[in-house]
Amino acid sequence: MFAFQTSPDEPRPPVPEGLRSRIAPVLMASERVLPVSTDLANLLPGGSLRRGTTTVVSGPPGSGALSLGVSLLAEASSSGHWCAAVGIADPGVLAMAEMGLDLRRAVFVSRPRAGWADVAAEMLDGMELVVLHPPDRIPHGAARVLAARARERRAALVVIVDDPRRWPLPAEVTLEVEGSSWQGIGMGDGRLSARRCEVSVRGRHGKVRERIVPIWLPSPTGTVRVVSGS
Amino acid sequence: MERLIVLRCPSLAREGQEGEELRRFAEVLTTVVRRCPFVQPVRLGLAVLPARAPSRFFGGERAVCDLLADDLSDLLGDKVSLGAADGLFAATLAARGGLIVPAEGSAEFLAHLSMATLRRPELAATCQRLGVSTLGRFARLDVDRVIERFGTEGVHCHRVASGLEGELDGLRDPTIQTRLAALDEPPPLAVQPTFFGGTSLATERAQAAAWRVQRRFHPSMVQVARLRAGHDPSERAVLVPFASIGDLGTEALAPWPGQIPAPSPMTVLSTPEPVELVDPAGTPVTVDGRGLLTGVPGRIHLARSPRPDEVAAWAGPWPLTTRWWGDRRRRARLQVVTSCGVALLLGAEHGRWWMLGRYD
Repeated sequence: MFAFQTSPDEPRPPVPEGLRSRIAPVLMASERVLPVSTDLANLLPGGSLRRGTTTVVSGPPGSGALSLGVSLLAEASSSGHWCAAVGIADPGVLAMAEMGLDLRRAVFVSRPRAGWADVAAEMLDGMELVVLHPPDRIPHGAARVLAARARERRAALVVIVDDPRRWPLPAEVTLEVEGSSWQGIGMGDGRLSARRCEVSVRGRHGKVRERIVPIWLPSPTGTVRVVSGS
Repeated sequence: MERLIVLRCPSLAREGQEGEELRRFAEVLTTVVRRCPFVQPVRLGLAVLPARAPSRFFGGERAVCDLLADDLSDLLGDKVSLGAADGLFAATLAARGGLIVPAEGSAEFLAHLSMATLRRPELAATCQRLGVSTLGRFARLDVDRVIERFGTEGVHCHRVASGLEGELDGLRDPTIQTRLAALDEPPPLAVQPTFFGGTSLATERAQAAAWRVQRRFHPSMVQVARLRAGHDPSERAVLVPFASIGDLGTEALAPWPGQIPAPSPMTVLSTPEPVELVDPAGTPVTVDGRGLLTGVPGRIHLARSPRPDEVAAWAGPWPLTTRWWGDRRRRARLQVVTSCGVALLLGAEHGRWWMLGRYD
């Protein structure tokens, strides 16, 4: 009846020594990283957002740091990866959607208050990407727990802070918005259309030399673009 | 809630193979626009217009309805009905019976209607078994019970049935405006990206994490976003409590007249903060009756900031035209960039400025 019926009495052939370890799950490159847009890939050392690592995005309010942090989620969310935003108090959801975030893949905990670190840890357990806007004082212990949780669960943690020194641990990548200027708006005419930001990019322990990259955030078409000719 | 007049053409509600209904509906809208320029299609055979201005002009909501029915009689005969109420949901149902529901009377009007009007057959069937057959009885259910049993969708329906929310999700056909606009153009290639079905391991883990946070902290702590039609960033996106992955779905929205073009502010304050805007001499700058600034903005003082900032650039003000008479609010929007390079979205209302959002 069945062409491939096996007899239950027949013993299975033994697995050769050493084979098991050799066929143990190998992480494919695509499983170690989360996708980002081509322009962000040019910005990030290594060209991608690595799972299990922490990326710090910094800049004072209004500088574009929040936009940059959210843009890191865009490509991953639209290819089906789950994202959580923890501690972004008044999220401009519409702007996030314009930035390319797929809202069907995003959950928000806007005001976790004192529980922010616990909420972020729980989210790192299940979500593939967590963007965290912590309060001003980040206890060393809480940061360590979160970084470890991201590593264990192979999630990517993006921390948005005013000043990169607020995150007490070395980050895999630090993106710092150092200056920004709006285009398209004048003295009573035009409208906000695009913002040019100078972003300093640093890798862990000086593994990647610091460089300054000018980007459009957003560009006139709405998403992140590296300023051409840079 | 906004006072609305809804126009129903039942004979055009269902699309035939020839596309004749869409063309006739476009003719209906063209006819109505001559009297009331702010009419908008909701879906095929259903259109809405703000009631306030036309009813003032033509002498009452009943007069507007009669006038439009008369205008359309050549086109549709008597196969058109109009009604008015607060909010789109109630107004649509009022239009069925040709009723003018008095202001603030929507909840009372809805109370006697059947659960089927919510267009959620499963919800209606479950409620029927529980002995809840009308919107009024549904509205009296405890909201905590509703979220437990029916999730986010149920809470939304509950708010609509209670008259707290005017618009039922799914009532608008997001494609209708583009379809009407495309009448004169060759049909575009229909490439719809398909969305994954079923749940993967990653999805289950994500859902479990969200549930754990809700159990540990607060049932409405985790939220998901919904986009909807509206003028302001705060109107166009709402956060609702997360219930399950199945709830996550946002429709593409047709453009809405009077909305500020992208980019939108990355931070949208849930409670706007007062702002002082003055000219270089220190005189307050406001918006006058014609929708123009009374002076040149020179300095801006935010509620949380110890001292004022210089204004480096500004654009606007943009009046929210369709709302000028929709409710009694005259509003205007202004984009301001401070000398630190921070861009803000301000709103003017009742002679005051408010910070609505920041382009973070």
